[in-house]
Amino acid sequence: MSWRAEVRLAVGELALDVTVEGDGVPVALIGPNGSGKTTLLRTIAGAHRPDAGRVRLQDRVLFDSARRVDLPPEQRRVGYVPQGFGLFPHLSVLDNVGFGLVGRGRAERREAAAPVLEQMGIAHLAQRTPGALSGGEQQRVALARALMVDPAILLLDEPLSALDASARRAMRAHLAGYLAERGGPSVVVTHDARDVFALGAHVYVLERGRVVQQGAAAEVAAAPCNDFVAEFFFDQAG
Amino acid sequence: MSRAPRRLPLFVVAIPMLGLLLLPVVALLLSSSPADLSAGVRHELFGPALWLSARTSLLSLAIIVLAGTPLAWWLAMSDGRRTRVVELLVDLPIVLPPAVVGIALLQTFGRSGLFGPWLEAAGLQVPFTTSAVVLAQVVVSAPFYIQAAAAAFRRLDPDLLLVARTLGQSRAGAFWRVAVPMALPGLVGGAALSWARALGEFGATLLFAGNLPGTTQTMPLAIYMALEDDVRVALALALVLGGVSVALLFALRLAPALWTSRTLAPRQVRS
Repeated sequence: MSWRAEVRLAVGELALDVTVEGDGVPVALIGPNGSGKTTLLRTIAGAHRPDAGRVRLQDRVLFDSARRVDLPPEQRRVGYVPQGFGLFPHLSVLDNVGFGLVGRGRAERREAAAPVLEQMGIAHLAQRTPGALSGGEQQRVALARALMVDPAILLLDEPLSALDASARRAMRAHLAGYLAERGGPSVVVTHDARDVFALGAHVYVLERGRVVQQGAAAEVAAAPCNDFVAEFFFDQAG
Repeated sequence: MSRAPRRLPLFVVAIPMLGLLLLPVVALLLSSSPADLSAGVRHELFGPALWLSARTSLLSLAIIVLAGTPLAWWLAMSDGRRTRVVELLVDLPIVLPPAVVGIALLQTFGRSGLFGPWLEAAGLQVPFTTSAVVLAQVVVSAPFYIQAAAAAFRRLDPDLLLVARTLGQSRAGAFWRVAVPMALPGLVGGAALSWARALGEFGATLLFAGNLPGTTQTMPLAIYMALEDDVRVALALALVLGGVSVALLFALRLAPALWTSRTLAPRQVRS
């Protein structure tokens, strides 16, 4: 397994106690609101310090309560795209994408970001601010920005839910193609079974901070462990 | 055919309070002729008071922003009871009468005050000096900036700061490159409010710094002094001080709006 996160953490009402692991195949986190999906993603990114646990990414230990290791987010090499994409509203698209090239001058950052915009098909948006973009465009910018720092894992929190139906279809295909081509580890929080199938993801079902089921999408869909999972897959299939 | 009964416009309910608020300003504007104004501006009290007010209030503002921003950031980023208590304490100078603040400052820095013996040993005198003017202004007006800055920082999406961190920024980098630019309208607004309050500071200054022309006599104190001598000078000082304050108010209300419409337009998700 190329990455593994064992996390025990109490935040507010939530008591998270999970072990999630994966390799190059995308991992999909599903579960009702408040089940801890976003908290787990943010914990891997370094926003929360678990009460106990261990987070390993390939041969690097990001967090280990026993060995008192806790890398700050800037040393974890995670590509985190939050719900709503988290673009910096005060920066242009080009400066958003170049943001992660810390320690280089503005001109150099822009020069390096331009070809990435090209690859993502958003070069024409370079001078716009995020407020002037459609949801699909924001999604591409956020992904391009995360990829600029060559992350060892991609953490995507509901990457498609802010989009309307047609943009979501297009973006889903784009994202699935991209993640397959890139091949590195990724974790995707989603409320849509079509995302799970399109990504060919390994599914973890969270409920009140625990993993209640896991497996390949088809397995989980065929033998849902609770009503949430049954409805999750039924709604989309129907 | 019956006619619909005439209704008074809703605006009527706003008139009494508006009248009370605006009439004094109108009266001030009407009561001074250009000749009076120019006589007042040339009076010996005017120049030194204006210069002292400008110097002290800008220095106070610098101190407030430098020391208040870290406090505001801490207030915004922490929660728990301790933070709430500190937040309440920060507001204290807003509710304390300025005269009380003045006495409290004397009890802190005065000869018989808390630090009195220590300051005396070091050969430093704080009360009735220009430093006292600045101290009084800082204490009285800092809460306005701190509250506005903390509110602006609290409105930031914590995910944006996390994203900045995952993109390689240290804590300080995320603060300077994301938090400050995004909170800037709120910070500028709070700074303007604080500055206006410092410029108008009277009570605490009078008690703690006195009313010495050129040293501690700021514009509000000069108005007070001039009133006993020549009302035209008081009016001229009042008009200039009032004008600066009104300009600040407009800067306060309009600048953030302009800023926001330029860079932080509400995000519309069009697909």
